[in-house]
Amino acid sequence: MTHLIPKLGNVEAVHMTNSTPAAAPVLDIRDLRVQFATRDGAVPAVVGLSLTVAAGEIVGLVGESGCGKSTTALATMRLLPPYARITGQIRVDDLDLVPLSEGEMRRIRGERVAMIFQDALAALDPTMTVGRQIMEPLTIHLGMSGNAAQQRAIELLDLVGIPSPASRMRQHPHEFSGGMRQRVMIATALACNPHLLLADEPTTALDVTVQRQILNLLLGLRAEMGAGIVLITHDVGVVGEICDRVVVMYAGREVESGPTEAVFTQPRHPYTHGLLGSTLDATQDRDTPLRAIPGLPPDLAHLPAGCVFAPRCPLATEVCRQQEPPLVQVAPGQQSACWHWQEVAA
Amino acid sequence: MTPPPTDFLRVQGLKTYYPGPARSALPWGGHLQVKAVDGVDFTIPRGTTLGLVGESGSGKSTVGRSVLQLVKPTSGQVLFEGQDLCTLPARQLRPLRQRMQIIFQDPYASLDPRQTVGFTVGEPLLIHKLATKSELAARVAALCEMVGLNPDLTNRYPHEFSGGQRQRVGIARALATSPELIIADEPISALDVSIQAQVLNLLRELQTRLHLTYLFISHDLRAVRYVSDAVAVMYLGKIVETAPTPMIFANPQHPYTQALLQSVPRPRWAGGAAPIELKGEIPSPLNPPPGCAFASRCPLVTERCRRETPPLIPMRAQPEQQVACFVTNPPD
Repeated sequence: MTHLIPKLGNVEAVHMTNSTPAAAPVLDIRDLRVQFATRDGAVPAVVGLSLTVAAGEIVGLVGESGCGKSTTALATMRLLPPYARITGQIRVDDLDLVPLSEGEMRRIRGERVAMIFQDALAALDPTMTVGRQIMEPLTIHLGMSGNAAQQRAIELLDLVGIPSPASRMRQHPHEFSGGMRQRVMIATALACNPHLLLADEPTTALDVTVQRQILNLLLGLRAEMGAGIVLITHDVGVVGEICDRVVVMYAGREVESGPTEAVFTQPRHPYTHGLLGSTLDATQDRDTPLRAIPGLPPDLAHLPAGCVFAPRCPLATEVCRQQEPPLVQVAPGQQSACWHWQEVAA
Repeated sequence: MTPPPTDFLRVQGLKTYYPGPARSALPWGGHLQVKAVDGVDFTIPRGTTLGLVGESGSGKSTVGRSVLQLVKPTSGQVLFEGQDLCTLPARQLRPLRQRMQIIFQDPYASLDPRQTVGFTVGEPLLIHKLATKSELAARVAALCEMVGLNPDLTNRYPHEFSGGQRQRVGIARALATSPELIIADEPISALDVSIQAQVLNLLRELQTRLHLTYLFISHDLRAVRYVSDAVAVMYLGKIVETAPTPMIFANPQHPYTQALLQSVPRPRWAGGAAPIELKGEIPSPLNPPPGCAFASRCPLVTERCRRETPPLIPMRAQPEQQVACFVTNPPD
């Protein structure tokens, strides 16, 4: 069994695949709820989230800290601590992961679903050579022999753009720079050709010029391997650049979703609008003031009644403080959970 | 006759080297030097902001700390209203310190977890004997209000505050001694997006109200553009380009500045040229390559760049813009 991946071609050709593929989704999350049991009672971290990702699609999950974006990814990997309670459905290629046992999950992680993290130094094993870390999933999941796994690990390092891969195989993570470490972690995640890649803030710790390299790498991998990618980030600029669709989360809920361009140019939720307004873009100068969102992100243990965004929302009225708005279709493929979505100005 | 006007803050030939790893296993072998800052000059007029941008390891934070004498510069001058802080004895430096303060990046690490927020904000007033114990509470309340913190919360501890509120505590503490110069070292990079905007707007508002002078250190070009009157771009311990903000963003000249600007993510639908991808990463300041520090990653590199270090000199067409590049700003 060979798993040869063609070497990355040019990255410019990548955006051609942006139209939504009609294939069955690789990830289909329905009504996901995650609760953490704490001293103050159950804290709802994710509330009724639904999300699909098709093969070859990059879906952005944006929001601020505590909005549930990372929890969603960790729930999909089933890496949450034991005091987390998960309900709902997380289907990866027709297999619901929620009822699986830890033993069954071990065969899924790394093989069908892989995850990359913000802090590569913490995610990689400091005592193991980089080569062995990449070979490990190959021998465990795919039953490859040592020689075949080594060959393939070298190919993977080459694929993610690490120069002289054969000699770097023998080095340890601390011998790599920040950007190179991120590449190593991506190589370990890609080792078994996963159908779904969860990328949690993969470029946040990196310098901009290196962030550029990693974004181009992700775009290239999507084109070459056709995996579905969930990109978790707080950086609206990154989403605008590489995501086909975007889901905006606030206090564990989806507040708006849709094709990235539609959501960012015609936002239909005041939080999306505020997030875009408070994000500095490349052309922001001193004369156009930033529109900051007033107030603070909500305390998940003490959420307000009605719409969770109402206390910070400029459009909030009585109905918002009493009833939680449902997600409604506001444009083709675009949904918003706001009673006043028609009043949100672009 | 009036004396010639002195610049508010002028930094000349600033070099700060740290001792690096041992050169050899022998105890007398000496240490390698990490040239964190390697010859930096800039001036900040009173009431304006200089944005210092660069990637990690470029030396931008060390510049901020060297200006405040929190690390001793190896050589060079830091002229604060004409007085060189580097040669000033500690006793004469101390009264000047209340006129310059720093805001740190990480509001989780820079506040003492065992002290109330009120104590943290008021401590500089006591240290510099600017308030008596009886005046203190009122002064602390006024400072909290100035930065948008509820003065009723001064008895609380840092862990009870969110990141954005903590950063406001850090700003209130920095403002306590009514400083004139503020070094803001990555003040927003640990904060959530909606809170970043609040803090940037607060910093701008305080500048207008209190006529503050800022050295704004950041890796985020977007933030620098939003707050700065002028920008200096650092790479491996040196300034490679500096200019008034509109000029450097409209017409970046150094290849590194160009790549940095193009690396900022932007929406696909905005169009524009495909961004240049820089190869590699910033070299180690332990073994800086000879010649231009950027030569190893530069798309325009020539033979001369690898041999000689280009000087930071004004562009012929617009002297306010200074560029250190043999190709885009040849010296002869």
